[in-house]
Amino acid sequence: MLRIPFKLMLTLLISAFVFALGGQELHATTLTYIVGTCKAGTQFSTIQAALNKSPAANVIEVCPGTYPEQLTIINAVTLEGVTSGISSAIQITSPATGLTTNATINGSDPAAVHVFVKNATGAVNLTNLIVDSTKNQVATDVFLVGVLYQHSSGTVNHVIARHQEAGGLGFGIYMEGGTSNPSVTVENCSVHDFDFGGIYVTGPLGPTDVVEDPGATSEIATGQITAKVLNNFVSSTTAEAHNMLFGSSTLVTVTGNLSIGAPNAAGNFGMTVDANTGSVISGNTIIGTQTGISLQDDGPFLKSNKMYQLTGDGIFVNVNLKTSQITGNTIQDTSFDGIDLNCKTVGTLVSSNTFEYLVSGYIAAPSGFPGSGTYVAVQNDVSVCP
Amino acid sequence: MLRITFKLMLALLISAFVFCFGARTARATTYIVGKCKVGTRFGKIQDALNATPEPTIVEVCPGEYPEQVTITKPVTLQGVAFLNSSFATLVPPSGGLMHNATLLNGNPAAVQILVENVSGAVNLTNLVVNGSAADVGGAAVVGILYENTPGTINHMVTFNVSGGTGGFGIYLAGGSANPKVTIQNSTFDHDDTGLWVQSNSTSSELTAIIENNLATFCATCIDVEAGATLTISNNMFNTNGRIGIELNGSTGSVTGNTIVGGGQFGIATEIEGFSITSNKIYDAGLGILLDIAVVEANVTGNTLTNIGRFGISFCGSPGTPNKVHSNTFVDSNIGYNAPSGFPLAGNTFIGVTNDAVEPCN
Repeated sequence: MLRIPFKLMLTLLISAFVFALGGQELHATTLTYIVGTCKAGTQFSTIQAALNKSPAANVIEVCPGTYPEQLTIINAVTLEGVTSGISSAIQITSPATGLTTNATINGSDPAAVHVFVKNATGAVNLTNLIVDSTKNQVATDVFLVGVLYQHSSGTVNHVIARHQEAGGLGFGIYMEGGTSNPSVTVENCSVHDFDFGGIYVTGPLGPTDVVEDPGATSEIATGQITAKVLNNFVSSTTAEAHNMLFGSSTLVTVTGNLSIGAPNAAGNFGMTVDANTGSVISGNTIIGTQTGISLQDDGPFLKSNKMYQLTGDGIFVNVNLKTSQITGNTIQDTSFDGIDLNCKTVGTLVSSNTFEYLVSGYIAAPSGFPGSGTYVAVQNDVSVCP
Repeated sequence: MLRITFKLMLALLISAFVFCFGARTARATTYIVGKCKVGTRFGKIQDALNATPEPTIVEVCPGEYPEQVTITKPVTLQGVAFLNSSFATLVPPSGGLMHNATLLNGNPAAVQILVENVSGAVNLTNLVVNGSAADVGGAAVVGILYENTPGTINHMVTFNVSGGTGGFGIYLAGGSANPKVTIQNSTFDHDDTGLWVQSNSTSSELTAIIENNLATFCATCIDVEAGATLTISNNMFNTNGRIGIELNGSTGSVTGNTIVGGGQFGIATEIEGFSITSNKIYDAGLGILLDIAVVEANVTGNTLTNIGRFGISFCGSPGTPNKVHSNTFVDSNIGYNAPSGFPLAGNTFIGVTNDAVEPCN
């Protein structure tokens, strides 16, 4: 009889201890600050003030409103807009004095970053925010970036980046890796009205291969950033823009995105791909750009993408292929050609693509290219390398 | 023994008769237009269609055919690939298109492929109809006109069908035969109106399935008038013009379509009978306009992104129970323009710059 109460008491004591400890840990994981007055709690009037507060919050909820701020995030945090009443607009806009130069991207380029996630200690998650860089007043020859993750991990979900326009140097969302090999996800975002790049994922030196030495293999084999880019909407209106770019030293999964170019905006690219082996670009839709996908390095797979109404080529191959596979893509109703093989060596790695209503299915195909594909209303199924 | 032999012989005779008769009825009469295949060849598509015995299949070699074609009997007319090309295209004759039909509104029309009151299926496949330089004066220009005829239009292209009193890539006209027409995997490029559907009846005299097509640079990509039953699904529209889908009559469903391109409206309806579900609309001035008194079919599951004015606008009744719900608004100015008190629960609003709902005046 005596032994049973003792066991019971011991069990209760252990349970109480575990409960107390668990409660403490639970409290530590749910420190939430409020920006605005739409919810009860510890309230701040600016987002940066909430980010700077000690102890650091791991969740910051931002009420609908306009926040003319330039943010820097260095701690792990979830920063999310919340709906209140009939409003869901959480707009981070340019301060009255404009955006100042606060970062260096691509190793050496000065940049004014609107939301700067800088060497963060843990995952930074951004959700339900509008980053509108209208009236940014960025200095000449300085890049403008809406959202920059630099050597930082996390997820950008349902974020709208718009009006990153700065003399042809504006980016919507830019993910730059480093030796810590951060892991990022960009999903369900809307990116438009930029004048250089929509969504960029690059190693620490930026898109060096693309700019300086197309087709070179300077990538670091393990990659310096791992990224998932899923279900985003990217729309460019200016010439020479790159809607999406995946640079060297990156390992990317790019799926379900819609990339649109405007009529008469010559020279823009749906996607430029220089990523590492293991990267997969699949199930994306590209409409109205000049080039659909430009493949700059061997390694990535381009599968089951759809390209419509382009003013140039669907896929441009700028490297000899040993690993990349280009299969199952559909290119329809373009002014020029389906896949420009650019006289590169591709073997049988390019196959089973569908071409409908265009000039040539494959153009500049190397000698002996088998030309596997489906052709509907194509003037020349395969045009060989001159 | 005798009886067994007799039965065996009878069975063999019947089998032989059935075989011969069956073979005769099932045998396809195939003609070739061009010289890319062996067989009975013709220089013009119309000559092959007019030949006796009448063809069941006309295969058109890659090349350019300056013709206006009229089809009055069931047939499959299909472009075929040869060597390095699969491009068989009809273009206007050198003198331009002649008036050869009258549309349901009474207007004369110059039609490049006229399918006229055929009781059996007419199937068109793998052909390009190029309306450039049609030069028709006061008439409408039509790439393909199906008048009261069933069939399938698959992997066809209509290009630059415009001018006169209007240009129509494909015009489906219903009628007393109540035909069923499927249009799939086809391309409408730079036509005034990509597809027009109509019957001269208040009840349905046409069933049309419109699926997996691409329409680009159209003033109105699909225009549906009265007298039909439609399923419009999984099409892609790059409008760069006025309206993706305009519903002025008929009934049916509009599901799973993607509409981009900065048009005035993504989908606009003036008729109660269409369900509008799971469509994705980007960059329009107004996503979905329901210009009707009562919403009688579901308007649900649509996603509207980067819409300049209203995601969904309706100032009538949302129906009882509410038929307008579970839509998603992203990166847009205002979610709903709706009657006062319209319930927002169940919808999703992400980055809607102003309010989720603006009451109708």
